[in-house]
Amino acid sequence: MSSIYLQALLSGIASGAVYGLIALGLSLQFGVMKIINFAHGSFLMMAMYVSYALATQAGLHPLVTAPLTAVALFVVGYACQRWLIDAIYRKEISREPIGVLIFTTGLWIFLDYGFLALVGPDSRSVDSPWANDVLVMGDLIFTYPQLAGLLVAAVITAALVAFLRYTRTGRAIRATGQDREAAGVLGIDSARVYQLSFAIGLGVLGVAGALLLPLYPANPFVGDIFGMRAFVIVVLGGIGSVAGAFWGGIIVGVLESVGSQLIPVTYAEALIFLLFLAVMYFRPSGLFGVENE
Amino acid sequence: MNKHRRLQLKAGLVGALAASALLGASLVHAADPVRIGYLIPLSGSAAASIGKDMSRATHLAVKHINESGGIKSMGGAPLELVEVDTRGDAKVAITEVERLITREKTPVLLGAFQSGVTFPATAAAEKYRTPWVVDLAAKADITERGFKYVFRPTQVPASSNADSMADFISFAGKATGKPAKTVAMVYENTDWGQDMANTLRAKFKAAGIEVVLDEGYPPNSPDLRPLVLKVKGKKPDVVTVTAYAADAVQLHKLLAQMQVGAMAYVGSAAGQIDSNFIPLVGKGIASQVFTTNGWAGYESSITTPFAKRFWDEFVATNKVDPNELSVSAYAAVWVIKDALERAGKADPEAIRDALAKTRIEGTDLTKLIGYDIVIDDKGQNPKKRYVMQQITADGEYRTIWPENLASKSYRMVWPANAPKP
Repeated sequence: MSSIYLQALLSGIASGAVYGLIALGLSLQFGVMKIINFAHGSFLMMAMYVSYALATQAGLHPLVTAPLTAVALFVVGYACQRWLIDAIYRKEISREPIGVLIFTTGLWIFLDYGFLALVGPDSRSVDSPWANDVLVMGDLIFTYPQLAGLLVAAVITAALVAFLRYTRTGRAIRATGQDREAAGVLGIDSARVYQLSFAIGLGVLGVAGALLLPLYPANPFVGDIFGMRAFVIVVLGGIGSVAGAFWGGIIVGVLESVGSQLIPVTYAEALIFLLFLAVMYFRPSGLFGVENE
Repeated sequence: MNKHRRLQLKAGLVGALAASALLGASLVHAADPVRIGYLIPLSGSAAASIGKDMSRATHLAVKHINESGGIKSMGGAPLELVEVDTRGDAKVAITEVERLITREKTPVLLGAFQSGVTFPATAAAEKYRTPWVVDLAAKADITERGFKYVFRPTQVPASSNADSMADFISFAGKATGKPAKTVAMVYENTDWGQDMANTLRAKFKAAGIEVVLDEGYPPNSPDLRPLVLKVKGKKPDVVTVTAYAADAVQLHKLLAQMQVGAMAYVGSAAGQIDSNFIPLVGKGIASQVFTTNGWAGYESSITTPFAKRFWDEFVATNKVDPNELSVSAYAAVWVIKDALERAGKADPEAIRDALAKTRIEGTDLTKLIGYDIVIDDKGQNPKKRYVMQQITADGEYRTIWPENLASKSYRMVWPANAPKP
């Protein structure tokens, strides 16, 4: 029986790492641009279909599709910021970017139904033996996509944290996030920083989509399921905190997995949102966020 | 010159008028089509792929009825579907019901597959005194409200599906000498899932099978692994899975991956008989899964030219085999056709009265669906029974219970071998 709890804990960490990776881009975008990208789940859905197309049409291994999906989503993110969001953002330079928020909501619905029209409502998943193979260690069982998800999510989070902390571009991104005007005075081109941040956010999401596909089949509305979770994680981990998103994801994953062993599964789902409300109330900057005041 | 041209023009006008009069006359003689308001989920998550399957069959029935001369008592009036996508949303469905009745003037409604949608939407139609033929929604209460305009010829309450699951599990134990002592019940936390669970719980108790896990889960959960782990911890002999396609696929994959090791996995039709189920889980995992089915399949049912025509054309256009859902959808239109023949006019009251007196026995249609249709005073056809099937290693569904409908070429495997991912 105790092995069930250990399995639940470890499975929860593995699922949570992927949740964290999904939330990471959202957190970065919010931290730097102060915009909430409601289309985040839809971009995840797009990433899953890109990965699916690469796996089935080009016959690539699900893991090999990850870097390619990342590049594709990076380009989508760059283009989206440069030619769509930037124009709206500029008009609202002096006030809260509400227009962008509404725009991404529209984009969310547009993408979901656009994909519905394009690919149909059927669920699709990769037909790879790797996706169902298991690794048995004593009483514990893991699938390869679970292990890959945990490992890749951890590496990417660490790499992104290092990039933001130690590179010149990374510091420029953080500086713009902290104070755009001051950063501008110091010669940082905020428009370029935004394009880059949005593109990086979606690039990371591309990897997440490719990792998720062997675990959960893609359908045009799959983004709604994981997008909602990503918002919870971003708030839990601390808005704008990259490492916080990762740990926030793991907390949600473990809570869901271990909690489900102790109470009915439906309540475990509610428990996640209860934690979300509690964090919002007692610590609005998130568990790993820095107080702004 | 001028005058000449005007004359020509006049002659032309007269000719055109005459022609249009003739055309008009012929239009008057050809009967107006009977419009059927059809509500079905075509988008929005899990139920949409079933909705699509059903919609194709419904359209095929309309085509076949029209090709064979339409409604003869109404001068060969053809049927016409006014199809709307409910998106699986009750609010959308209620709005569409009102629009179909008041704007589109459809005298009869058909649909809407899901119980959660059909239950409130039929109440809206009842208010407008417009008859509704329920195609597949299984919630018992749909025909338990004393409604006068709601008929369910091709579906029985969910409890009947659950009855068959529990009865089969007892039967298999007796037939093989390896009875199941414990069961884990996993079901989606919805109207339908809970209806099923209520019946299963009572039946297992009566049969002396201990329920070691009784767990509803929210549909479309991001991760069902915790639930499957919980099942594994209880070491059940049998696991019952009540889910639609997307969740059923996840659950059966995880049950195999996590090596839960039960004697049998028994599905409640829906997800396990969805045309996407076997392609998505793979034959290794699907093999030897048990599932109820509201239809006994090719071997037992395709015995007449009428049935063959349905089967062949459905397969030709859709590239998948028909299933209970498509057969029921197909049959429901024929039930409307039967009522229209007796009503003789496209009037909601007349159609209602005809539907209430429906009695279709021993025809080509009943051979196709495997049961007679006799509407009782609740609007229900109580004659339908669920069969139990097992999926073969080749990904075929074979009926194994009840014995009179069982396949002659396939023998049940119980306990089932462990599924191989």
